Amino acid sequence: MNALEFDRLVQKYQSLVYTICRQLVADEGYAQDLTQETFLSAWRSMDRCPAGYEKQWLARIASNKAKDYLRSAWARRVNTPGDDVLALEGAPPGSEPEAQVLEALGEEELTQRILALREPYKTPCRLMLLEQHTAAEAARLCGRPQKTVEAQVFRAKKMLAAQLSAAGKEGF
Amino acid sequence: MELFREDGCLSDEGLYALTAGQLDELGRLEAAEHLAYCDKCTDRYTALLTADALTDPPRDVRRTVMSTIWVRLMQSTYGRAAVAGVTAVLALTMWRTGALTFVTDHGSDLQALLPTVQVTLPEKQPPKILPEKLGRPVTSRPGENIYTRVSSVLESLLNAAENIKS
Repeated sequence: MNALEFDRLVQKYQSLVYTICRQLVADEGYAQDLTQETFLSAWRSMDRCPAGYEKQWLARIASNKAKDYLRSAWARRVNTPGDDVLALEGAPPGSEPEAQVLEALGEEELTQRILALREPYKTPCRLMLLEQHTAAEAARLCGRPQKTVEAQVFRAKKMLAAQLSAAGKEGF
Repeated sequence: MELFREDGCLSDEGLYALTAGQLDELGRLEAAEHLAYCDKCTDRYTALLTADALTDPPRDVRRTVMSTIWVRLMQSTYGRAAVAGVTAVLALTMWRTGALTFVTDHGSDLQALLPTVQVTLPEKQPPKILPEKLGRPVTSRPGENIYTRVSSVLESLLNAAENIKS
């Protein structure tokens, strides 16, 4: 595909890509930036686009861009010092607070809590935390990219720790 | 409202909530993560985005994207071709205007203008006993080193250029 053909592609699909970015990141300015990044990435890897599937292919790239943006935004927000999730007292230096909380749980309670998780967290957590699969094996078994599985398990641990922390506070 | 079905794919309600802008940040992150790898859900989602559901970007994306692409193209392919073309034109111009002849004519004058550089050579090491080599040994005149030899070659080249000109 040459530059002129790509120009026509941008003209045809810019509204679609912008709408996807806008719906996923919910911010007009970032959506505009991500739309531009989507088309620039598409130009760089145009030879990998299956013929006739430009719409789905661009939607996939836009979702990836939005995912990267949302992941970093979420990480920044969650890891802000003073957050309740990280304010678990008594954590030895060098250990993750959520890991410490999960280790303190009994096997039965941990199993119950993991199986009570909603999707998309239940399957990767069951595979990695209960059945002791590696991230690569879990990714293969549930048909998701490894990085996605790792990110989902990481978030699930944070959620479980937050649940336990909230339950502990209620008990006081 | 459940965003995901038990099979791990996005539910219909979840997709409608996404298009209606009803998901919170975590829900949007989960949906984006899923759409980034699931072909089926991407098809379902793009099918919902019909012409009347699309939003135009506030600024025209096409102009910005295409100008960036043109700049990159210029920097890579056309940029190299342009540099090669300019070099060729410059070389031809120098040749046709006699700038090269000027350099050869006044080469000895330029040599006088150049600063003299003193090179300190490492101290002479005691000669090593080398095994006997085959072939004719290279003869060097006393007091001659690599610098004097190179400069004498250059000088003879300049003289030859002068002779040709005259």
